[in-house]
Amino acid sequence: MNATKTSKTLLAAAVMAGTLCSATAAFAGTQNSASATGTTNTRIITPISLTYVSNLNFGDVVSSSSAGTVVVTTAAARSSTGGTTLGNSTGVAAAAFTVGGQGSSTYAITLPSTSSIASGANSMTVDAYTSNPSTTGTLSAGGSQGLAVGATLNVGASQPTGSYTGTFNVTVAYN
Amino acid sequence: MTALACINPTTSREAKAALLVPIVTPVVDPLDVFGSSFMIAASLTVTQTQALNFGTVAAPGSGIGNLAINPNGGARTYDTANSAIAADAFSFAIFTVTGGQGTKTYTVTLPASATVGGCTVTFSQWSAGGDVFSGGNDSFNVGGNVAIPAAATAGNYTLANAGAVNVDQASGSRTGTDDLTAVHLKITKPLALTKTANPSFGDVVAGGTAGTVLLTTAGARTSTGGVTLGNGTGVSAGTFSLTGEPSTAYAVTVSPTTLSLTGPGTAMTVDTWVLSPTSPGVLPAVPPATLLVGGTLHVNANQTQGSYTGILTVSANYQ
Repeated sequence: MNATKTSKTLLAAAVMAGTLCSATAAFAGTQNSASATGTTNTRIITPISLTYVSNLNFGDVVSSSSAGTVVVTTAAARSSTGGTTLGNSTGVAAAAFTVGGQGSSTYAITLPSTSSIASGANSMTVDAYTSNPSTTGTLSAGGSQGLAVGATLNVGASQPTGSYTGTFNVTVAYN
Repeated sequence: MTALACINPTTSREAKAALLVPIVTPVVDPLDVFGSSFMIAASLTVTQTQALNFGTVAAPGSGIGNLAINPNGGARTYDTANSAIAADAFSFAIFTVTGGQGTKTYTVTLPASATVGGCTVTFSQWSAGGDVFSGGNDSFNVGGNVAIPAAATAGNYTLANAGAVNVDQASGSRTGTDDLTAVHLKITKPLALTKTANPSFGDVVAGGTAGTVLLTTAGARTSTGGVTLGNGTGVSAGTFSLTGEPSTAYAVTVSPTTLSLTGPGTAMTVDTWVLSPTSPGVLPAVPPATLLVGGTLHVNANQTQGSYTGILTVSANYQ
C-alpha cells in the first residue's frame, strides 16, 4: 500500500547529514581542484649612484642698496632682478652630476628647497633649485645620465662683498 | 484498561485504584492458521522518513564518476580523480516498516534504477541486524550509486519518485510498499583556474645586508633590511581567474609554501603568500572570481644582479 506521506523536504535530509558529514569530509578537497601556475619573477639590479662633477657657480654679482636675485639656469644662463646686477661671468656654471644605475630605469630627483652660502659672518640664501632632467630622470640603456642643477641666489640690500660658498644636497632614487 | 475510582464521602479522603486488564497477543499468528493456501493479504505499513540525498558533486573531467552513498553508515564516496564531492549535506533514505509479524524476516525489493539529472542511479539497501522484524517493526536504509558522465549538465536535481520499494514478509503473507521519493543530486560546474598575470616583484636593489620585499595583493611593494626598490615597471600581484559553480564556497592554496627563485646568483625564496579574497571564499553569482596573490621575497646580502624566476601553483577546491 502507499501510505500517505507528509512532504519529505530536503530539510530533513540536511539534518540527518549533519552527523554524517564529519566522517566523510576527508573525501572533499583532495580531488576537486583546478590549478594554474604562474611564474614569480624579480630582477636584482645595479644600485643607483650619483657622482659629483662640478659646482654651481653664480659668478660675480654686484649688490646695491636694494635687494635682488641672480638666477642660473640648468643651461648655465645667468640673469638678475631687483637691485642686483651681474659682474664678470667667468666661472658661471650649473652644477653637474652623473647618475648611474640599471639601464633604462627611471629615478626621482630631490632638490633642496633652500640652502645658504656664506662669507665669514655674512650669508645669502639660495633657493628655487631647478634640474635637468626635472623631477624624474631616465637612465640610458647603458645605465647613466647627466644631471644639471641651477638655482636662484637671493642678494640682500647692500650685501657685503666677499667670496660666498655653501653646499647643497641632491638625492636620486629609483622610482 | 478500566479505571475505577472510589470516593468515601464520610471522610472526604480519596482513594484511587486502577484495574489492569492485560491483552495477550496470541502465540500463533491467526494468519498462519490457514497456511499459505489460504493466504489472506495483510498489510505492512512502509513509510519513507528520510530522502536519499547525494548532495553536491562536480562532474568529472572525463569518463564517468560514480558517487555512492553506503546505506550502512552513510559514507559517501566518489571514484573520480578529476572532480570531487562538496562538503555539503547528504543522506541515505530511511524507511520504517510496521505491522510485521514478531521476529520474522522480510525481503525488500528496490527500484531497479532511476535517472536523476541525466545520471543513472542504482539502489542498495541495508538494515541493522538484517531484514528481521522486532516486535513486528523494523527500519532499513536505502543508499545507492549515481553514475555521472563528464557531459552531465550542472543543476540542482530532484527526482520526485524513483519507484516502489516493496516489503514482503513470508512470501507474500504480508506485504507493503512505499515509493522512494525525493532523490536529490546537485551537479556543479567544475572549477577552472587560469592565470592572467604573474606575480612580479619588479626591480630590486640588493644591499650589504639581507632584506625582504613585500608584495601586497594590490600590487604594492615595500622593502625591509638592506633591500631597496628599483623601478616598479611590471610589478603585479599574481592574478588568477576562477570559474565554477556560482555562489559556491571554495578554498585556495598556493604551493610550494616556500618558493625558490633561481637566477644568476644564490637562489632567493618567496613565502608568506597572501590572498585576496582570503580563502575560503565564495564564487560570485556571476563568476569568475579574481584571485590576487602576493608574497614576501627574501633577498640575500649582496645578491647577484640579474633576473630570478620560480613557478608557483595556485589550486582551488570546492569546500
